Amino acid sequence: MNLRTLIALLLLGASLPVLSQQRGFSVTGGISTFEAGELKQYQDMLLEAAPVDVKGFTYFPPHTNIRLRLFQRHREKWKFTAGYSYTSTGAHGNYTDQSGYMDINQYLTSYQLGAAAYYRLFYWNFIEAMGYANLAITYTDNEVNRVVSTNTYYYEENTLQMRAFHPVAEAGVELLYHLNNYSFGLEGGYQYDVGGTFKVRDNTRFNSDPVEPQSDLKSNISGFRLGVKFVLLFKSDIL
Amino acid sequence: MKKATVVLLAMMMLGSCYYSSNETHFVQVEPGPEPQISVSVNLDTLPPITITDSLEVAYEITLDGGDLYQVDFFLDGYYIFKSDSLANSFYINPTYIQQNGEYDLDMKVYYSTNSGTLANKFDAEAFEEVKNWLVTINREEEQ
Repeated sequence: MNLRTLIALLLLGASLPVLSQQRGFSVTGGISTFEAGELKQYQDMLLEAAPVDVKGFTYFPPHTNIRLRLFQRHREKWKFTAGYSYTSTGAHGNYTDQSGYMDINQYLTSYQLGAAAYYRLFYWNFIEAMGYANLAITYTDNEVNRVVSTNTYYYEENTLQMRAFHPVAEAGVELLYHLNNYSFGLEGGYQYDVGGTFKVRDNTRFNSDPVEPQSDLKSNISGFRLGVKFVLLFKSDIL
Repeated sequence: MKKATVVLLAMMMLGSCYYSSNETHFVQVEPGPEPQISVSVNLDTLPPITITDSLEVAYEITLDGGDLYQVDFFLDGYYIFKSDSLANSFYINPTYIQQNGEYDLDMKVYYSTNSGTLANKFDAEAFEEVKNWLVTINREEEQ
């Protein structure tokens, strides 16, 4: 059984309907980090290929991560969720002089659909901690954009778009304080990018040749996740 | 209603978190020496220029420390010839103009500035050297 088949079976198992005491919706907003090693090297290559001294400012820094999930509790100690996640980051380089400017940017956006299983670690006085494991299918889009604009009304824009479909796995901990119909707290963990490779999707030329990567780049959006979580219960029983 | 509002607000959050960065790195570029240009045209040695049949125009450009972009010729404001060569020639035909008379012949030479700026690197700025002559069109009417 290969890895993709295993992931598909686990996702299917997590989506089966189960008896539940609680059902609800959660929103988690926070920060994600990204390894993105090959993309960072590619950004350096783009800056070096420019005819002027472009300075790199950001290389895929920690940035916003949003998660929306529907969940069902199973007995007291188990919870199963299915949901959607969005995150973005990028890289930025700029050169400006008295005649104009050049921007070299990458915009990385990642969309996930996945399922997770939670297990209670402890519960005390309406405070609950659960460990979780999450599997997701991810679509990651990377747009490479170079813009040149001068005071002499010269404008050039070159865009290269790459995309990757790949699975990711995540493990972490959720810590919530429960009220009657709401809960809030923190959720954090580490996401591992199982292996995504970008394929060039679109390449528009304007006035100059694009700078395509010499080989397919790995997405490698592995990194840590930490966010504030808000839970809304559709159907609640006292735990 | 409250639950639907929370869900709607959560969905709206999705569109507000796109990465962007606007930092700039400004460099004050010291311009290099301006290119030295010399333009010679055969018309400079002619007496008052009259075109009755056709007239050859030959030019030669010497450019030191820069690149030639383009040479344009205009007759009475109308574009008649273009070249990117340092030396070239062409013929002016009196049929270019409908009526006999005096008209301006203009030559515009565009070449690099050697300023070292971003616009210079992308050939987006140029110096212009202009020469002009007064020519008389006197077409011989067919009998």
